[in-house]
Amino acid sequence: MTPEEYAQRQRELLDQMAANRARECLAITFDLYAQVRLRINTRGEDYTGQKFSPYSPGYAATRKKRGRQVAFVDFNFTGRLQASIRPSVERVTPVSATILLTASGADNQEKLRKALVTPKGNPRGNILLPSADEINRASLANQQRAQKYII
Amino acid sequence: MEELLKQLLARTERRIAFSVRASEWLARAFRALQARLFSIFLERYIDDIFADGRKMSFTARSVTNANRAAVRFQFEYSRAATSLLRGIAERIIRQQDYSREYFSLLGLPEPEAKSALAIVMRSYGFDVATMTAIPGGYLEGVLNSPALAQFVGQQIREGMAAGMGKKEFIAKFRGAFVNPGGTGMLERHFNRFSHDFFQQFGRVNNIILAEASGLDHFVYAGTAIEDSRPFCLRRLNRIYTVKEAGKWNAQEWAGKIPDVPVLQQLGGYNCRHTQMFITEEMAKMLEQQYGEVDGYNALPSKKQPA
Repeated sequence: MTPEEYAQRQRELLDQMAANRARECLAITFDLYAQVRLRINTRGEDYTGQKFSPYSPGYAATRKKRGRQVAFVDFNFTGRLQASIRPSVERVTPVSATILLTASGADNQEKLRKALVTPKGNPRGNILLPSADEINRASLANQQRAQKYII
Repeated sequence: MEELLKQLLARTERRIAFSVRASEWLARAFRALQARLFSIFLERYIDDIFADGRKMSFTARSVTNANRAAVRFQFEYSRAATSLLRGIAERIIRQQDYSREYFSLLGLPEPEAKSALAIVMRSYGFDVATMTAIPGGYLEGVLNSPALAQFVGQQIREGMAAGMGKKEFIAKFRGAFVNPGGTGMLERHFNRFSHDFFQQFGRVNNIILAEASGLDHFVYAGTAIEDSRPFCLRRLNRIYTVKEAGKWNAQEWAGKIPDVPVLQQLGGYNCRHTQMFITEEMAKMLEQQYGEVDGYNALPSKKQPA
């Protein structure tokens, strides 16, 4: 490859990277949120590895009566909240992309807001936050995909 | 950066405000429809039910009148609900306009949100182009289902068995049908439909986003409950390829929605689970923890919710 060909190939790859930026960022967000979902659904832990504050006795009784598990908090009763959470591309510039990950629908937004402040003594916080391990894995996966942009 | 945050906030708030208005409209519309049908019942049918005396009783005439009332009532409902359906569809379409921008940011040639809507609405038997229910489709079935007539018939039979007077029966019927302060009969009737609809709509959006991002692996995500279907339990929190999921279309199980791709319906009616798309690289990394890609869970010998 001559220096000119090399420079041309570099330019093509950079253009390709810019064109795919939104898709790549979406893919990273999908990878992050899938891991968050798996952690919550199977272990009921927050991003630090701590169990979420348990259900109140009244709500736990309602859950049990309706056939839901109460061993840990999984933010899952009808499935509507979790199904409504998905990433959307909010903005793409030549050097960055902004992805918004939130719930759709006012009722689901309210559930996320409620988790930030309840229970009073030990709020569950932002349940969409990924753990350090999850970020590392998503980053590693992204690095592997990014190989295609390297000559 | 501050300007960008402001824009994000403003856009999100516009979207939320529209959702709030749409759900409030739907709740008001259901309540208004219930109240209207209740008034119609009092105006047109109650006297027929008490035509034989001051107390309800099982006579040939009263039973005939009661059956006629139930069937006519069902007809009034079908007519009213069809117009309501149009309003629901219009709002869903408008809500989608708010999301359409990000599809164009992805550089997709068509406004994909619109086709997502058309796919889901068609699977429920509603033609977006003509804004009408498709004959023989799911929605037409919901609107013409005998559930309401059966409900009215049951209320009348219970009234007859108890020998209720007019006032007592009206109070009982109002409590069951309108349920002031609670969830009325029509709201309950539409509950499953709206649950399934929004679940499927979310899943189709996921499929489109995943296609746009070139993802063909997904987690069958969710939790198990007492009556989770074996179909879901076998797949729960396992990782699959879209190709493997394509093979599930040929399978049959209780609860499967006919003619809807499995990737869109997952376990079928009332399914609480979602497909969470991931990259191939992530799928490989998660294999150790959540089992090999395209593998299946063993069914528990006895369901034991913790």
